[in-house]
Amino acid sequence: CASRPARGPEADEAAWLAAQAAREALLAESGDWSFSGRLAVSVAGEGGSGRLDWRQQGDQAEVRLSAPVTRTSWRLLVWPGLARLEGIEGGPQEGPDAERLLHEALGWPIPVGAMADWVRGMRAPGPARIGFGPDGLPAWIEQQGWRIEYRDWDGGEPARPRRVFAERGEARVRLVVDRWGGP
Amino acid sequence: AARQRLHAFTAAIDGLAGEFRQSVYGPQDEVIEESGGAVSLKAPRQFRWEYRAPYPSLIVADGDHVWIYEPDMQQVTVRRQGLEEQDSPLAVLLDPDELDRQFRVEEAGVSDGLEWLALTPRKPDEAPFARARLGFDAGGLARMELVDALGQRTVMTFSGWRRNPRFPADAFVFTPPEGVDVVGEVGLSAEVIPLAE
Repeated sequence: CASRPARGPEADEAAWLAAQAAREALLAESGDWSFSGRLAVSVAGEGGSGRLDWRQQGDQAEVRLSAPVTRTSWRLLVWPGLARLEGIEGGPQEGPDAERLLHEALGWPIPVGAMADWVRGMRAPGPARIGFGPDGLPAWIEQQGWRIEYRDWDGGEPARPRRVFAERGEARVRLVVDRWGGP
Repeated sequence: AARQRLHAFTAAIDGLAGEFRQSVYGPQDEVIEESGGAVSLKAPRQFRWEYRAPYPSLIVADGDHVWIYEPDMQQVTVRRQGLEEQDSPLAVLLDPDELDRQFRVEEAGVSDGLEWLALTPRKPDEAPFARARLGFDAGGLARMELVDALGQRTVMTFSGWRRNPRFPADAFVFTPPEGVDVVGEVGLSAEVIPLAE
């Protein structure tokens, strides 16, 4: 006999996964987006925090961090196969990989590529596990060794995260999105 | 001139407290951020920035450490408050010798109804900003502008300065709240005997 649609939690799970896939497809279409908010990073007891302005245009990105009070800033420019970090002590630095450049220059393990998807509540390409909250929105994603938790959402359409806490081993990257869209 | 205004504003002053509004402008002078709150200073190097809007955050320098508390991210970042403390010129405003030691201070004329002092860090690559300006009027320090190496500009506008106010006992003391990650080194102050390895 025809398989009857599952009822109960399996049905919810399947429905939410389908909704998530649709949400990801919709978000993937808009290659140009930006947000401003705040970032706090810590790894093995060291770390920092500041204001974060992220502007994505297709596969290019500009990520600017401004320090507390003085708002002294550095910025990371990302193109396919090239990343450039400006405004840090010792002058601009370049490298093929944004994540490695940030890690070498500042000791911060931020997976810039994947974060561009996670911050929008999407799974990055590649294997991932995902769990949903009672509202059917992602509660967490596990991917590339990171566990990303969505503490709250902005209630837009499609819904986008407001607080994202990511953790991998002793590294923690915490994001609060204050505003989506251009400054 | 501005130097006399600075001197009049800080002479025989042990502490200051006032309100600030902060605007941050990007390289094309577009407004990126607006925030504000209360600021307190106590000679020689204690300070407190208490941001209220658009979201709470607190920066306290107790003379040994600078604590940065971000409630929304449940993180406190702490670092030793070095002698070369170059947070912002405000941190050394009540310590004129230190101000001159860290910055080249020059008269920068009158504009916007304020008398300006231009400050250039003597150790540029250690300084958190490329240049700064302090603007004075009859009430004292009215504005502080900082420009960083990428051309981002921060303007702090001050009001309601109270001179030698009575500070609450814990004004320049910070104790991390429960359940918050404390990140960064809390260096042992000189007189504490290091733990045996």
